[in-house]
Amino acid sequence: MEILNNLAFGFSHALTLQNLFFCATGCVIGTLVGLLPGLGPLATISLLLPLTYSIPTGGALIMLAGIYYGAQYGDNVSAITMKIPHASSIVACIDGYQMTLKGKTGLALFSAGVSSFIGGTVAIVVLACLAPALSEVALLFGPTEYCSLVLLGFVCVSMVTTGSVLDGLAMCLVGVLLGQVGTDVTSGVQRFTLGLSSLYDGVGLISVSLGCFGIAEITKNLDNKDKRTPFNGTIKLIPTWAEFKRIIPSALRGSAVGSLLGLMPGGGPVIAQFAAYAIDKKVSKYRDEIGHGAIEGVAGQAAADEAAARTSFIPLMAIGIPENAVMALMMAAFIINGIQPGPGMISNHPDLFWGLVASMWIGNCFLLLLNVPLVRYWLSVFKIPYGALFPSILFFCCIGTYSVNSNLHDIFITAFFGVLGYVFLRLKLDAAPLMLGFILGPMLEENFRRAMLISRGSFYTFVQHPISGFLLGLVALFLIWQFVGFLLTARRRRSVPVVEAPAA
Amino acid sequence: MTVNQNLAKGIFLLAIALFFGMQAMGYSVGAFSKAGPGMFPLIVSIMLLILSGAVIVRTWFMTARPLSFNWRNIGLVTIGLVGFALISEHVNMLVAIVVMVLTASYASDDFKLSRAIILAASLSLIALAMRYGLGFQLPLY
Repeated sequence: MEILNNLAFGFSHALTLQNLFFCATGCVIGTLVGLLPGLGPLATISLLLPLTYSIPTGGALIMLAGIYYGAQYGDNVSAITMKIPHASSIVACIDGYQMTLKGKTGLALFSAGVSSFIGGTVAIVVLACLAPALSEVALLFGPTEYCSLVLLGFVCVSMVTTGSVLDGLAMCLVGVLLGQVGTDVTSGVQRFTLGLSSLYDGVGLISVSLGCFGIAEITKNLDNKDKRTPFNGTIKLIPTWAEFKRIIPSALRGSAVGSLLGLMPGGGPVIAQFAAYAIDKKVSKYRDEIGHGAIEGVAGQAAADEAAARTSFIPLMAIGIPENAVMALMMAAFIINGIQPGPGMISNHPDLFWGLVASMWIGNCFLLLLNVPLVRYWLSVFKIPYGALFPSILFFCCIGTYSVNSNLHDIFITAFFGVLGYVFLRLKLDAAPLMLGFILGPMLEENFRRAMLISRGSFYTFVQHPISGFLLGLVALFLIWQFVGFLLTARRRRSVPVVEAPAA
Repeated sequence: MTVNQNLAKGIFLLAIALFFGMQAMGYSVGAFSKAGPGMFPLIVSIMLLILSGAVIVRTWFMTARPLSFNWRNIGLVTIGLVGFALISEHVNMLVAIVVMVLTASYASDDFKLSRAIILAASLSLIALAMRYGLGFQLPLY
């Protein structure tokens, strides 16, 4: 059994005292940022990126991954107890909060925690089996295939994150353009630097993500002025056997859905939750209760959430293309540490890959412990008033931006992207596709130039290669589907006057 | 005055496309088989231009939504950040932390001076700890 051997090898790396410490740190920070408003996993990972220069590569990656999947657990807790959805727990607010209203908070938290654990475990098995196989397929990929794959990724992310392909694609392109700032590697020409010396090396990734996700989010919360009432109810965690039996099938269904959707370009936790919830609503034995505080409504989506958060590492590590914004940041973390994610990664750095996979399961155990028996202690962080929280986050944003290059001028760039991010937010433009475009942009350009060089300037090369042609066919299919869908709704709206416009 | 959010979105994207596209034309474009530094950004800008045009056209088919924009909070936060960088450069970072925390805190609707001062003091202590404990190179004073 090769996989078992590999996993044992991975555990031998993940179980060192040092890596256990990084894993635990990542999980704790992840849970915390999942709970608190104003600093999602995206901003946190970018805040901690500069720190990874000074700690060993394996530990750094384990910690950053821990933040990402830890935040999914934390998200659930704040959604269930206070109906505060962050980036990725909109679904948990429905049934989870209903259960709180019925006084079953403990049961909801237990279901979410245990299902997340199940989802995470299933996904790790998928990850361990599939990633090495997929990376062999990815060896067939040349520049044309990479270009087409990135385009497909853009279209899929746009469809998923914003609901409107047009907005999402536009944001991807804005990101690509921002990624063009700086010195062109091939010709040495400085592009779009506006003569500012701090832009010669390009716009800092950390400035973009802290601005668009940290500062813009903080300001949005300030605008909303929502008063958060800390949760004060009682929590009875241990379920009855009958209740426990209801968690399992729904969690397993969620794990399967989540693992699959985590793999798709543009997929990830958010869409996985919705899909798992929808499926449970169709096939569950208790489907009539879903929506009014059913265990299934919490368990299925929590498992899918957690499973997707992990399987979304597969495209990154096997092919080298991140499928969503958080994975794009993880890719940056790999590259900062001198590792190129992609087909060669698993064979060149087996200790890193299998160590990371094993650490995910260890992290799972930490999180189960942190979020089920210890959950009531976490809830006390909500007693911190937002007025004290957000200046502290700003402080860390400043220090984080500064410490990348020890350059104070980078803070101006962060501030600029804060304003830009806020403008995007007010214009209802999602910044997540921008992040993906920003990180993939340079790679897209390089592969595009190379493909055109090989084909001597003929665009046919993108359809002549079978894999690339297939991927572009999918792109065309999705775009046509969206366009037809838009025309149909526009027509319907014209015949029936509607008071409120749906989010398009 | 109410601005239609959808239209503003399209115009904003259009402006970005023009900003990058105009500059890209200034770089050598080259041929498809041997792309110059201006080629790729120009292609992307043109694609963005088309998309933003589509967004603008789409506003005719959608119900108008007013654009809400609150200058006060984003202004205070930005002033805090810019002030932080300027004061760190010309005075020192400890003063900058205090000024930044006080400015930004003012954006909160339950602003309390005492709390802001305590917060500024504790964040300064954290900064000191980061410098002497974790070895961050911060120009604190």
